[in-house]
Amino acid sequence: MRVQTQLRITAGLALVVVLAVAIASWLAVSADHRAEAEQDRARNAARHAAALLLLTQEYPRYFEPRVAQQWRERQVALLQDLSGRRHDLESMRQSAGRLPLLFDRLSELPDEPENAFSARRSDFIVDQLINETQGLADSIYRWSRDAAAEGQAATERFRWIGIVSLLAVLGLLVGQTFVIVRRLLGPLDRIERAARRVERGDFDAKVGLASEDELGRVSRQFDAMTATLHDRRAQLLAEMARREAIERRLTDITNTIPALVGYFDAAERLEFANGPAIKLFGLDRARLGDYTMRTALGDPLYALHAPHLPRLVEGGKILIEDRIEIKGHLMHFQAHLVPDLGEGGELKGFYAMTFDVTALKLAEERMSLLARVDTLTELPNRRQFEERLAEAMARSRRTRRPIALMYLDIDHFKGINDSLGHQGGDLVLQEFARRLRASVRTTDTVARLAGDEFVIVLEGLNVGQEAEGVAQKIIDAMTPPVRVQGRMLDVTTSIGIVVSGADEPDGATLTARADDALYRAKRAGRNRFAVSTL
Amino acid sequence: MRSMTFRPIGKFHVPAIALLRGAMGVVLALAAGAAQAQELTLAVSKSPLSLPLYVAEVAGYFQDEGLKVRFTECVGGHRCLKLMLDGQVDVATAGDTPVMFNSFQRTDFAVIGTIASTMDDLKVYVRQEAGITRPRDLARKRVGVVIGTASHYFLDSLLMIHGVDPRDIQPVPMQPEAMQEALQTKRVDAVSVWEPYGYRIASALKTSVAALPNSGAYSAVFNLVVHRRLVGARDADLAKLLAAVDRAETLIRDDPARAKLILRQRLSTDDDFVRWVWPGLTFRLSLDQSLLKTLESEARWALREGHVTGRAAPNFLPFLHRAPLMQVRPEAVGISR
Repeated sequence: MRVQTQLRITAGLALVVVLAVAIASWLAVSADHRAEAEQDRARNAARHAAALLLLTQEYPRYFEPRVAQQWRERQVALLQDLSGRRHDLESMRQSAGRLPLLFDRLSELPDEPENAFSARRSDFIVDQLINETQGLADSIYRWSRDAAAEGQAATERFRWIGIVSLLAVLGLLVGQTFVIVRRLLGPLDRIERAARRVERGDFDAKVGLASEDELGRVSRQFDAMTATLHDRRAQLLAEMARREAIERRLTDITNTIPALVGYFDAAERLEFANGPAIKLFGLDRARLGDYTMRTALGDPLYALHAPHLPRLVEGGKILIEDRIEIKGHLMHFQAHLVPDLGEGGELKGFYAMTFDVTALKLAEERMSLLARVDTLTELPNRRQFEERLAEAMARSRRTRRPIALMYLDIDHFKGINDSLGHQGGDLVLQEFARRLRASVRTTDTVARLAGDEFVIVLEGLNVGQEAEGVAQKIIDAMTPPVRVQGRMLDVTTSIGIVVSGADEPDGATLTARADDALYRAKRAGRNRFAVSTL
Repeated sequence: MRSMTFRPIGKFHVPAIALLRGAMGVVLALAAGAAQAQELTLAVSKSPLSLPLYVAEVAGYFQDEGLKVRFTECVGGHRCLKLMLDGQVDVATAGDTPVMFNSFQRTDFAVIGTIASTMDDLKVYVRQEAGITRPRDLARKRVGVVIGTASHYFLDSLLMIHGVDPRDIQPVPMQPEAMQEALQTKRVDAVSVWEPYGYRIASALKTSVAALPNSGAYSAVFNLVVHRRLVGARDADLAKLLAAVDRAETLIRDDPARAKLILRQRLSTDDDFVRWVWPGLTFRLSLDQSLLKTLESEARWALREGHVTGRAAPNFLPFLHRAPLMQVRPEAVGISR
């Protein structure tokens, strides 16, 4: 049964009990009043009967009219008191109603002639009257006793109704309390305890009420809720564990790969750095968020990245290849900057993945040395030059015709490199090489030794002076400015020249003399040539 | 049993009373066993006034009280009283008149209670042909009467009240069962008789008889009279008898339909008779001052009219034995000592 229904029934019962008590009390009070009125009447009737008895005994002595009058008045009053529907009252009324018949006979006696019969008759009628009146008085006495007993019973009933009413109300109160305690407080306490357990994170908590009432329903909903929470938490924990494993794996990977990995937000604040990056830059692992790109990388390295950063907004990937000296070592690196764009295309941050390619570069250079062609200018390299020089010297000895060796470099190339960067420098080197090749015969050998150092072997000369003409031609060829990264750059060269005879000892000596002549040209103010005088 | 010192004052006392009753029942049963459950013999007049005894027997109240009774049926209280006085029974039902007459001759009996009263149990029936229309017309007529009974007293009472000297009529002594024939054979002009004989005469003779207007002021009472040897010696049994009668009277008041049925069956009569007689009957166990007064006035009448010899009426107080009724229902005892 629902608690609401039970409470309604209890309230209804209370109403019924109160009504019943009210009705019973009213009936008891009425009965009490009736019994009291009846007692009053019985007492009055008894008084009249007693008076009638006395008057009946008094009257035959002198037949006084006063006594007769009093007798009749009493008899009428008695009849009035005997009104009512009770069976014994009816017989008393009949008895009292017959008295005047006898009394009339008695009152007629003085008028009748006196004889023996009239005396006997008088005695008889007086006796009869007294008998009847006495009988009436006895009945009235019993009636009075009955009325008193009824009154007492009514009072008793009233008292018991009071006590029973009190007990009934008390019983209802106790019953109501029992209902509340048994059906409300107990279950509520259980629900509260279960709720507290849930509050402490114990999703196994169950109320477990089986009743079909409202609280039973709440209990079952609560238990279903905790069951759902329990399942959800298990799912979440599993998901968290899975993600943690993934994150740990990813962290392990980023820490293991030979690269510096980092993530910066749009304001260049560092959000993540992998182990190698932390180690290389000496970052505080616990305070990564305090670093910006500049403070993390240091000014020199940041300077190499900064010019590229504005392009990230456009959404393109950026590749930076450069070299820098860190802790006394030259490091070649390749940095990939990948933008992290939001759904609206706005820049949320960017990933930076930097690979240390120093080893690769060194290998490349070694490879280049080992190879016969300079990869940048596509000119013969030092190795090929030495071979060709040896071959040219051998031919010169056979043909007895002189050869000239030119040693060149670009004036102030370091300044160009510094202002344009290595890429700019490389472009200048490529343009320089192209102009050199255009200034000589195809049979002549132009080679790049290293950096901005070039050599030219001129063969089949008729006279040594022809070399000076070629040198001048080269200097002239350099006159038009070189276009590099949108800038017009004046590039000049200094040239040292040595012309060999038939008895030149070896290529190295020849090269050294040309280098020496170059040194003199530089000393003489650059953008010129000098001829070895030895 | 009803006069126990523990008044029931509420239902909480019910178990206590039940326990006490049970205990008393055991005690009484033991006592009864010891006394061999001595029988009480009753001479019961075949009259509506004996109804309480019939009811008590039918309802098993005597058994309930642990009393073994045996009824002997008799016609008229005067005969029942004679059976008792002859020692044939212990108790008799009788009206006040036979009690009064016997008190002039012997003292070996006593009244223990009045069980009923009636105002019109007695009537004077007259033959229509006799020319009697009112009590005064009875003068010099032959009137059948049961001498020494209520029939006798009622007739004199009617005559006296209406100014007829009883000595001016011709009383014809006879028993009630002979009166119908006496009227039919015109041996008498009128009869003074009690129920159920009055009803039988009226039913049998129909319009040839008529009842005189019952203006006689005489309330007959019906009593339980016991032999003197029982007084004191068997008060306990007498109390049981009265207790059973008291319960029967309660039943009569509470369930009149059942009481009427018992009355019809016991008197072998019909519903008309019961309807005829019922309104005048009052069943109330008592021992009142009025009984004393009635006996005294009747005794004076008997002396005056010469129905008995003697100088004065006897003292009736010793003829009333109050103890059993005091034990059963003290408030019903109206005689003070």
